[in-house]
Amino acid sequence: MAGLAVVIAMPGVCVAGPKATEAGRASATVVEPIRAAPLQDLSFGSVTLRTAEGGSVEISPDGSAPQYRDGSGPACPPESQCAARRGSFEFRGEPNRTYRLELPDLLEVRGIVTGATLLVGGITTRSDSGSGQPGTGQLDTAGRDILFVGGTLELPAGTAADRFRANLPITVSYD
Amino acid sequence: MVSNELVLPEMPAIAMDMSIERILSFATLPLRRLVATCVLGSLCLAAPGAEARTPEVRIVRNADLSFGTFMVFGSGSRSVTVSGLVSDQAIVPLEGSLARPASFTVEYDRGNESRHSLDIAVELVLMAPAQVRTGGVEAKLSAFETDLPGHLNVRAGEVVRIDLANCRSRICSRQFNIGARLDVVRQFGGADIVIPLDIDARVISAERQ
Repeated sequence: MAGLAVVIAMPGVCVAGPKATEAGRASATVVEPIRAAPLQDLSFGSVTLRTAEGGSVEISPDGSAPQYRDGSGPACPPESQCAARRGSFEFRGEPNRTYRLELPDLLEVRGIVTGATLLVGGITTRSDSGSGQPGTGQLDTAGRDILFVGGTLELPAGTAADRFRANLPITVSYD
Repeated sequence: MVSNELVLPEMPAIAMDMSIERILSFATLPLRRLVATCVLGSLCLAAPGAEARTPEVRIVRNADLSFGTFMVFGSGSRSVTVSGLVSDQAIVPLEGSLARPASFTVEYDRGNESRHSLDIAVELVLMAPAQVRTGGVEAKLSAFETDLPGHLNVRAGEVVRIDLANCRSRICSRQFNIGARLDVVRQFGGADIVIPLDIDARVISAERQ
């Protein structure tokens, strides 16, 4: 049976109605803020000092034994409450993110009784993540890292007995 | 020679007839029927090629809307304009993906090579959910904007009309950008937020001048 084709032309008007849909998306990566919490204070412990000579106490962030120089020495046995120890902080935030640290180069500590001041320099850090770059670190897959802090306390000759304290400010931010 | 049972005399192309004959000459009759059925089936499948010559509208996604990477403590918002300008409220920008507006192109294909001038009107509808929640982060899209004339500010579900005037080529198109504002409320953790942003297009008229 032969087919019949009919074409009806409507000049000036085409039939409207083709439709289409495209699936797009909007995206954002929201990063959990990084938080720092102190775990242990940086403490130079109780120090004996030959006041005529002066000295210094160096604490390494890697946990090795403190170094007493010149006229200084430990007044307490290692691991005791009054022994010198490195400081530590816990950082929490977005897993695997790298972060940047800001620490003071020099810290002034003040005697509670005498009001005398001493200087802590050579402030250095080491993190659990083992980041090779100073002042940087990386949170682990759980979004955690531990930062250890060391420094060197300078004890000039003639320093009087006292308890010295200072706050150690640390600023941490994502790269 | 092709048998009547195979209905091949109605095949449109002689070259194809000969090719089929060559194939069938090695086949038994039942197999010939099967092959013929398959051949005719493929012709039916090929038929939509003719439909491609009917007018159609397409939406091409050039780029998704990205708000980039940022940190937020409790709540904040980021706006990305159609030109890519970014403004933040209570947001800390971080390295990572870059913020940029979405880009789409609407295309009208008249389906033939006619040079008649057409005035085409296309209606677009932007569709996005009110808000999404991923883990401890809730996100909401609002304040959509486009660079289409007369439609700087649009709402989800609103009809936006695009005119492709004096179209003389087979395909006429218009590219456009979409910006928006993203409000984020973070209760805990972080999140990779993905919000569907669909575009519906419908040709409402295609008139010859």
